[in-house]
Amino acid sequence: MNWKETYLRLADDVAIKVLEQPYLYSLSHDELYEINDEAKDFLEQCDGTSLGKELTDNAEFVEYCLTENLLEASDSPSPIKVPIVYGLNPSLRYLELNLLHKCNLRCAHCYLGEQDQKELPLASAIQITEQFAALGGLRLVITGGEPLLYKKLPEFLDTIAPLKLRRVLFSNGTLINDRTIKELNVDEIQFSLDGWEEGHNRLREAATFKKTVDAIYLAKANGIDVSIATMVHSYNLDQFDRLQSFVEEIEATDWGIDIMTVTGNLAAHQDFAVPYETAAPFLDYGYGGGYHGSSEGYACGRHVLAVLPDGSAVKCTFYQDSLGNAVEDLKQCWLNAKHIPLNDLTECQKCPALADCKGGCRFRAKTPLGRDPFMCIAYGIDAPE
Amino acid sequence: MADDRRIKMQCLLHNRQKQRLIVGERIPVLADLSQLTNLMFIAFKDSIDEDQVDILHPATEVKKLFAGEYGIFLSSCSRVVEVGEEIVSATLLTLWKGNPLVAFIMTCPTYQHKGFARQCLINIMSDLFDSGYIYLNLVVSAKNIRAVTLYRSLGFRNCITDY
Repeated sequence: MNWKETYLRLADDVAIKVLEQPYLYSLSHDELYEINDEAKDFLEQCDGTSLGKELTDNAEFVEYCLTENLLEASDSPSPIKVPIVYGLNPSLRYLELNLLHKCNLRCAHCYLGEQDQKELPLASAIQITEQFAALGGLRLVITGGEPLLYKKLPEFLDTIAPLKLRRVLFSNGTLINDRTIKELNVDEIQFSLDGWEEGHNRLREAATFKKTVDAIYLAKANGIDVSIATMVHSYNLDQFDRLQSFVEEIEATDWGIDIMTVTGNLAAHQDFAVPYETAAPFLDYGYGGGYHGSSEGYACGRHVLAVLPDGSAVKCTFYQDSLGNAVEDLKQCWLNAKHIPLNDLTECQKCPALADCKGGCRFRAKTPLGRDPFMCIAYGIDAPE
Repeated sequence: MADDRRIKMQCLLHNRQKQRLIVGERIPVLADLSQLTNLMFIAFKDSIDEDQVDILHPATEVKKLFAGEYGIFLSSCSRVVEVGEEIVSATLLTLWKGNPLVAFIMTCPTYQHKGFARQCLINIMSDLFDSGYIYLNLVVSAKNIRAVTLYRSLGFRNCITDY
């Protein structure tokens, strides 16, 4: 079929997001494409009511968009309202929505420590998500505690489904079964898998490994993308090759490897902590996670915000300083966030790795503008005292 | 369903501090043709990107590159890495539509995960910036997630620039 004689429309899972510049965002592939103003103007007209030849003569661009499934061509008109949203600069791209703190497990490393009973009311969760979408958000990370303990989770997910956001659920997987999986209207589930059976169960302090693996297969069978998060700890160091085989077998979209930060429950379980020098090589097993890149010249947190179960916004869940009430005004919370230019990291200015490590984790750094000792080791730089 | 997408990526070049040269890193020359042919075969054979090159005729691919059929071959901005006398990694650039393009990037499987490709790319990007280029382009198979991860970490973004 010659595209010039077809009606062009933006694919259902694609939206135009004008952030620092115009982008095309594919929810299903989680890809963000930079486009220019001319391309944006053309794509805005792809509402299924005009023939391709009436819109453009740029065959290369149209054909690329068709092969990437960004555009659809049909032989009859199929009108849509082209989704376009204008964000802020810097843009808020990722929101971590902590629905509750309650969890069915008591993991040795959990940064939350003692659990409380706080829960974000359903109406508030929806309100925050709608604000996030209106600000040009890309990925909504739904987390907790264990989000499957949130009684109104299915209702929440169904309500927000029409918003042009990629819905990513973080779960330990133990409550996912044949019934609950049908209620999870999400694009991706990120499972915590912290070792191959023994290492995983030891960190979870429960024999949950099989349940988690079964849930991963169940998610895949139900057409949900799966990603994996693994913590390096002293009881899983010999299990990464086995984990790698599994991650490749299930075609995980992302394998995030992280090291422990001594806070929360870990303070009482420090035998799990691994020296930085030992942990660093294991980061190479991971992939993905860079998502759509951070703004050049800034440290972590340039595009991310977290909301806690009490509705307060924070820089990320390690931080307690509230940036405001997200239910009332998420935009103002984002405007209250401080962004750290890499030039302000005075100890890192002469470091050859700065462009790659981007200052690492600001929470892990000993001082707000100091070096992240783990990244120094990971990049072969002498670590600070 | 298999993900057959080919992602166009672009990196805005900037004044980036050059990494240490890898031992054995140098600019490719015509005499490398035979070794590059062998490298292409072993690097792509049975790999996730096997269908991205003419694996049965790697010599033809390499000759086409040197002959400029994929755009003018930018040998001075390309790199190979030798271990002993064997080329184990190569990052080869052409000039395509006015911008440098990573035409082939390949590493012998037994030398992967040693950072050769990453460090060559960083040095190449630095050279390109010094030469006055603004962008570096490449095309990558979406299913090669590890490669996409590497490129993103170096500042490459998905980009549709043809409009």
